[in-house]
Amino acid sequence: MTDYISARSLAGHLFIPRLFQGFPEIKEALLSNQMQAAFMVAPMAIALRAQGVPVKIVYLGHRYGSAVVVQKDGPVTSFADLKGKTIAIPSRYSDERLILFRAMKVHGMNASDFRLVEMAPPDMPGALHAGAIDAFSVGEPFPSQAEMDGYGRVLFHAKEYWPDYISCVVVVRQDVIDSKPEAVQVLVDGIARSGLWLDNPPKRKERREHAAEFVGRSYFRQDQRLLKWALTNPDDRVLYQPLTPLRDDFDLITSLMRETGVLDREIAFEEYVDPQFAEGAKYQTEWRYEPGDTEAR
Amino acid sequence: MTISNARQNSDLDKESNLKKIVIAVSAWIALITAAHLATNVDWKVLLNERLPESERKLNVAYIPVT
Repeated sequence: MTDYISARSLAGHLFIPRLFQGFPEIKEALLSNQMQAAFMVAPMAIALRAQGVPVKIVYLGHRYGSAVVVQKDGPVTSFADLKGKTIAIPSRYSDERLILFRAMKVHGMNASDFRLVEMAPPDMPGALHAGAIDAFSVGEPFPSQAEMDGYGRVLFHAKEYWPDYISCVVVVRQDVIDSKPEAVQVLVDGIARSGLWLDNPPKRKERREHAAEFVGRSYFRQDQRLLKWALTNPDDRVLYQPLTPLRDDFDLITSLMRETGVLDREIAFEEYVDPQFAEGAKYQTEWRYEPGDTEAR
Repeated sequence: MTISNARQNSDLDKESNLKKIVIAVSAWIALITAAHLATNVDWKVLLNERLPESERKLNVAYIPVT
């Protein structure tokens, strides 16, 4: 979204967006310096840093936007019904896995009560429809896809068990932070301005519908009706502010990672988050751009 | 028309047909190549990679999921 609007501004393209289909591929591209920055699930970014990979989280991608989905007319009607079932997750290093553990605790269950399988997010709705899995836990728009196509039902949204839930974060290589801090700031400012633009209450619906159209066509290569559904049913299903990385949010993620065996040491917030860019973006204002405009400022 | 003239005309026809085939095949290859370059090559990425390191824009990876 930031790329689309910024391309219409005086600044022009701020960066070059590159589409991937899975988080493991993004990780490899980041390691090999093919990509200098990436949107990835927060636990994966933290685990990379804990393993000594020189990257830092500089901003959040969004808040909320993940859900656990089951078959619409299937036997699962409550979390307890997931006992003994197969649930797909995007990665063992994902918040979508951690949310299951949080819900599990509330319901007095343990990890051996269900079987987790890793699957690329775009494959999950089809696998649920075919009965290959009983549920999936993933970010939008795949929960919306299962709902819209009539075979899936949201069992719960992540925020029901995890207020202020975060999933995707913006990660930048340390050498880029050191050598091109201005470019990183421009990127973060652009994301901050897009978030403010999308979340502006009186114009939220109209702008999100417009964003669904151009993001679906030019970036996600997905049905625009699907993105419209994901962004507006209801319009707080995914939120784009506040996007500043906060210590409490990440302390919760690292403690869950430690508990569930995907982080083998304590790691300080400062070690994996660089807050200077979020601080720099604090006073940004939304893009001055309305649907139909040819120019943005 | 003598036999030798008829042979000459037939050779000329063959040459002209060959020429037409070569032109048509070349045009087809050029068209497919242009279509490939237009749809499958990300020029923004290629041009960016040719810039000096200090002027390059950041490549940012994303997947179609929130």
